[in-house]
Amino acid sequence: MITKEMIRRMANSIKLAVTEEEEQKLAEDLKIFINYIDTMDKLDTSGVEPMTHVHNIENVLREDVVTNQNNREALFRNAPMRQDQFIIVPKIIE
Amino acid sequence: MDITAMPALTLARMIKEKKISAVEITKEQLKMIKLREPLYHAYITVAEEEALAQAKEIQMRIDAGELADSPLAGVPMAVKDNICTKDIKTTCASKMLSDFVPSYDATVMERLKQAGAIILGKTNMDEFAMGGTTEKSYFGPSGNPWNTTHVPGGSSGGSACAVAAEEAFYALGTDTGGSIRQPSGYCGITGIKPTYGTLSRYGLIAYASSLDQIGPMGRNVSDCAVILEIIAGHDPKDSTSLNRQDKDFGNALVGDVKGMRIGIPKAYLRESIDHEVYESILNAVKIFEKKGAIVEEFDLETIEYALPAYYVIACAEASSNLARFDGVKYGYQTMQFEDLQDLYQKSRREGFGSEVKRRIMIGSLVLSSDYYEKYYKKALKVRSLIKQSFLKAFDQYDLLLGPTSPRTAPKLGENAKEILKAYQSDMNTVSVNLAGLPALSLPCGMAKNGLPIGLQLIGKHFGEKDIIRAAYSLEQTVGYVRPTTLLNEVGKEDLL
Amino acid sequence: MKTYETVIGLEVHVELSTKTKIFCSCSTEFGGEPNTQCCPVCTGMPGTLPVLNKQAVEYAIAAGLALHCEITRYCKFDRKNYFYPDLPKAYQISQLYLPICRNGYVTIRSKNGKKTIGIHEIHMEEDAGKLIHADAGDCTWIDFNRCGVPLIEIVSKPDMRSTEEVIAYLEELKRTFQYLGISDCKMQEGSFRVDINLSVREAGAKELGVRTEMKNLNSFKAIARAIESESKRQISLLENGVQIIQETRRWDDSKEISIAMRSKEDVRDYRYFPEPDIPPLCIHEEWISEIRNRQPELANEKVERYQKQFGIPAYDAAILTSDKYLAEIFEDTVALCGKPKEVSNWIMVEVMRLLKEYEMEAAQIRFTPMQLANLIAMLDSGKINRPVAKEVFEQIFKENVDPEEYVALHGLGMVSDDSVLRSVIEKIIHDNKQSVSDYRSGKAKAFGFLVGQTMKEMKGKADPTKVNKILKELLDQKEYT
Repeated sequence: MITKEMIRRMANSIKLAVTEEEEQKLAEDLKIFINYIDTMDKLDTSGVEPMTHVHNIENVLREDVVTNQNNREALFRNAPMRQDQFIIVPKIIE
Repeated sequence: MDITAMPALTLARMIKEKKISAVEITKEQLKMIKLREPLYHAYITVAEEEALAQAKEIQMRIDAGELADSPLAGVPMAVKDNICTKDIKTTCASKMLSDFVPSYDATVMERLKQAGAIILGKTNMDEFAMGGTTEKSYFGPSGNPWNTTHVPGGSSGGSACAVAAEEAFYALGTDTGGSIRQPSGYCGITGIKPTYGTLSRYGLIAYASSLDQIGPMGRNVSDCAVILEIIAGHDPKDSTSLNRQDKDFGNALVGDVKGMRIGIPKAYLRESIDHEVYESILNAVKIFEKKGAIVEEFDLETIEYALPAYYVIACAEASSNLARFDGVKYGYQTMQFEDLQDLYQKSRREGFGSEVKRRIMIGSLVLSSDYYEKYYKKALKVRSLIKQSFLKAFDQYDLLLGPTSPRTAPKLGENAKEILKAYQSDMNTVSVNLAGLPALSLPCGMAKNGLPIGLQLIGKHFGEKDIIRAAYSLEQTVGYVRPTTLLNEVGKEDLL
Repeated sequence: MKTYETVIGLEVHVELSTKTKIFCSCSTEFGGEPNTQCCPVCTGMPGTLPVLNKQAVEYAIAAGLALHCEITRYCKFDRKNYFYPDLPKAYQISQLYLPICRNGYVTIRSKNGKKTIGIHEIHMEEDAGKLIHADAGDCTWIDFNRCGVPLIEIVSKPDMRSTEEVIAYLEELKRTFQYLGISDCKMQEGSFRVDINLSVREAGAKELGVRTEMKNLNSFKAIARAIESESKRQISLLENGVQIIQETRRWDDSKEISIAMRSKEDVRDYRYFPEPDIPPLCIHEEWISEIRNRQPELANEKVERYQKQFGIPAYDAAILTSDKYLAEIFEDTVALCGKPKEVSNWIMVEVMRLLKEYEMEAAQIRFTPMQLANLIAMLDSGKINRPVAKEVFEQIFKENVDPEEYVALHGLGMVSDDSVLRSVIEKIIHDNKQSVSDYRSGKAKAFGFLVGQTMKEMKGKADPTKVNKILKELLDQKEYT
């Protein structure tokens, strides 16, 4: 089920280059892990709603008022590659 | 007694009474840090200049009468390095953020600063809070102040270490699956993870959004209760933060547990628990009973499914939360790359440690369309049942009790090889995060190996006052023990 | 020879005209200096969290109500995870499982009569930033200003069968949203974006063919061209027995072709899961009623009212209300000058002509109702004649001039003194004896010639009606030879 190809494909989609060795180790680790979490099958959850939020809060909303100001220099101070007013990446060809 | 051994509240009183100034104590504390850091490595960043400057400023405010109502004004403290501190490096113990300096404070930091706290520096942790020993830190592990060949626990290991080693009067930690409680237990200090939503998560670099909470770590229950009171409260910048009216946690510092119904989930006392830990817990139970509490064991249903559900949910959310670290806007960028994809792949591969990569992989797997229903959605349903299980338990009991961990702090390098073994040490604590409940760990005894044993108290939603009260009561009997290593310290004379 | 049917569904992204972004309080104003309208939240800085904009939710509900949708009472947000430099968090907060509106429809008018186009759903999401590919050099610039601007995505059912229907649907959406005031729907500013899902099948077939998705359509003309082109391409493939690949294609309007985007984009697994940082929305009936009551008069209602209140025929009313800004100009000008039929004429003829000529949208009109009302008043009072008025209006439209000033500056006012006119006409008669006798011998054309000559002499500053009258009067007097 968990193959090295699967690891490679996933690594690619989450932008995490892995070496052959790492692929192997990850495949093993994930196999062990999957076996472990398969134990959840033993618990009958039919009719149970999945729970993301632990409390029943709803409708947390904000008024439509501009409060933020231009903060470009502070925002970009940790940027590895910049050019004038922009952060840059290698050229993308669409 | 070393002045730096004092509880935070005691120090604060001395500062108010002008027996010592904020600057003096900060200087003292920094000296101790210099002395002890080579041994314990609690800190990633010691912000010496900033701390002294803050101390000066805060002393002025104290003198002007501004901080008269602030119970911890002038007390130097430490912050776990996944909480953003403006203009101070915030690294999450990762190469990915090793040079990251935020231009904003976490909301809890704003509140602490306003209350007159002095920030000594940022403490060590497992990378991105993923781990239970600080061995996953990019900057190397911290040592347990009781015995440096053992781990201090994690992921808030550096904070626990700093507090226990008296390198800070208190610290902030974060708890996603036990990361405040477990290291508190291993280091013999007190730590509280509040009800989910009690504190703002704005500025906390997210690991698992629906599980993370910031919490206080200190040398006694009173300190922690007061810290919690200062930083708790609704934040309009955090949509999951609650508007609680019952934040006067300091009022729960009474030693009365008469009539309190305390339940011990049988699963917490299972076979795999260390015998001495078991004895220590039983001892604590006897103390509670003597003080008038009613204690009994019971079956907490579905609890055995908490660990798998926790890891599925935490890794899933983490895989998404850590996707923003891509080498483009901030953080580590690989040196050589051919194109954008190369930049992404290499920066993340080089910037993240292996545990982080593993959890991101797991998270991506359980969210992938092939496995979403089977694992992620299933885990969310299991989570719902676990919450219900706790609610049912709290119909019968005011609080739940158990050991914080099934054993004392492991040796460095012990859990390295097998992933499951490492994960399983979280079993006593993760269910609490899944249900969003408050929980506290405090020291309840010592093992023969010279390492502390922690006891965990779990309250119902918004039940901090109950657990604080019970913990305070137990503490009256058990007390606080300083690490023996500090008592036999060398080199201090040269410093003072 | 087989006949084929083209089946089209549309995904339209509309930028909501809220003042702030969907999850933070940055300004959404168009055209700001790069990266000056962003903050730690919308640039995905570590530790930041989203907070939902109430106005964005209300606009989305208003859109759903206007498009006859069911409002989802309990709805949530989800994370759509993928990597691209214009997406700072590497996930887009969107709605997959519980979109805010579902199962609506839009009625369009085509040459085949009325037709209902189904709307599958409307969901809310945040916009991404802008990538600017530097021509010279090897980098792409990122502007985060647009990151986090609120969007609604309207997903139609595959109910359209022709370019005409597509355009009618889009125009109806545009008109509705402009009227609601929830978006200015300016395609050229990116606040109205269209993706086309197109497949073909043999006429009469029940199953849908394999569809492709087309992006980068920047005008209605481009959309029309893209539909024709893709339809032809797919039919040609089928005729040659080639399978159609489900893929995303980028439309290149200058070359008038579509190009398949890299196919691995199409096998993306977005790993959607519920957004833990935003609590769910519980939309109660009272809230919906409040929003429904606040809804402004929509186009259909205006069409009815124009007919009743102003006596404007239905066809004209439809044109006047085809765009909210036109309707506004119409109503405001009528309010100033009280001449609905006159104003209607000016808009339907001159304004529409000029909009077409300059390829503008009504939202880009610069002149005010006051200027048009003044022009009409000047015409009414005889200060200027109609040909002059037309000329002045063109200037009002192009250069935003004040009519009174312009007329005065260029001396375009009509000569009001009849005696001056009379003497000029006498001169023309005197100088054109041949034409005069032609007229007298029954050649009506000669009259027109004499009018023309008079107007020329008067440099157009005469009331043609008056010229006619005086000329006829003088010609008919037998004194002249």
